[in-house]
Amino acid sequence: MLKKGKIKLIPEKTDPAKEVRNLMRRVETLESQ
Amino acid sequence: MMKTAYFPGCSLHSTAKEYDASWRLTSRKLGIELQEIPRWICCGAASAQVTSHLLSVSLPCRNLALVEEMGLDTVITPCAACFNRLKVANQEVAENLQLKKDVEEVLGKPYGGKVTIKHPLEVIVKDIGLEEVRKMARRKLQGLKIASYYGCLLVRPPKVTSFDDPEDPQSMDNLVTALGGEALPWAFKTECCGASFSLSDTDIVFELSGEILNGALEAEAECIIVACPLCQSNLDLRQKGIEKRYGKKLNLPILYFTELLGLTLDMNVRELGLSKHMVSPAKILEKVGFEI
Repeated sequence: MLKKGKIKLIPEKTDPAKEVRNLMRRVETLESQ
Repeated sequence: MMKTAYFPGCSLHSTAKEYDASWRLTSRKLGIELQEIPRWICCGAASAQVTSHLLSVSLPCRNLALVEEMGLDTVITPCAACFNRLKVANQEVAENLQLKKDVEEVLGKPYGGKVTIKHPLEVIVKDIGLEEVRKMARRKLQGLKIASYYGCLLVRPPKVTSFDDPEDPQSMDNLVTALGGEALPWAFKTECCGASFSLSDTDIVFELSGEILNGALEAEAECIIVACPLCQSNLDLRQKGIEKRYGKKLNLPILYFTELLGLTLDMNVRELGLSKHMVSPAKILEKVGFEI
């Protein structure tokens, strides 16, 4: 059992810039087909 | 209470925090519950359009798809550029089945296209009504002479934005009148301030924004009110540079219409962000009974 305070829970965060880059890559892939 | 999704966009989280703060505060007072879209991303504004048409449509649609996931049917966005991009993208997808399919492939999920996109001005004038706003205003602007500047993105193209006259818009002027200010007729309401050239060619910005500021002074305006963070930044932030270039003192405060609305709703001046502008509105607001 984990001791209280030993592990910090990191809230799930999304990086907006990463999300935009992902969409850019998808667009590039689709447009190159 | 009217519940809607809220898309602040990048400017309202950075250079236009006072627009974000004043809209959040005034909307609550007006009975609107804003729910910020979780994990929203940049709408692409002008930069995506010059990169790829599909990208420029996919970015706004990705945000609108998130609104659909929230189970809401309306999104409010105060930035005129975001408002324009969300509306244009939504309309293009509705009219072009192949584009819709491509966008869905990029997003990796279906896109319903059923979300209504509104600007705060539209909500205030059409949904709430100026008479209601006038009744709620505890304080008045006491004849403050105001030039309402709409810029080029808020009311054009009229087929898409469709809430005010594209040549001589009236919504902000009517709001000013309802709040006890004097809405001035002037010729530069919808001229471009040069926002897209703000970093790449500031000479153009100086020229275009300079003409707008001069036009407002000729109309004897004591301040300009705006509904776009890009316009505000150009007219306020670049004003010193424009003064230098033309050798003329302008000293014209550039306020968001939500800030003036907040003042009349008796809200805290600091919370509204009125002390954050480059050209201080303190003198003109003191004249009509507001202290900063």
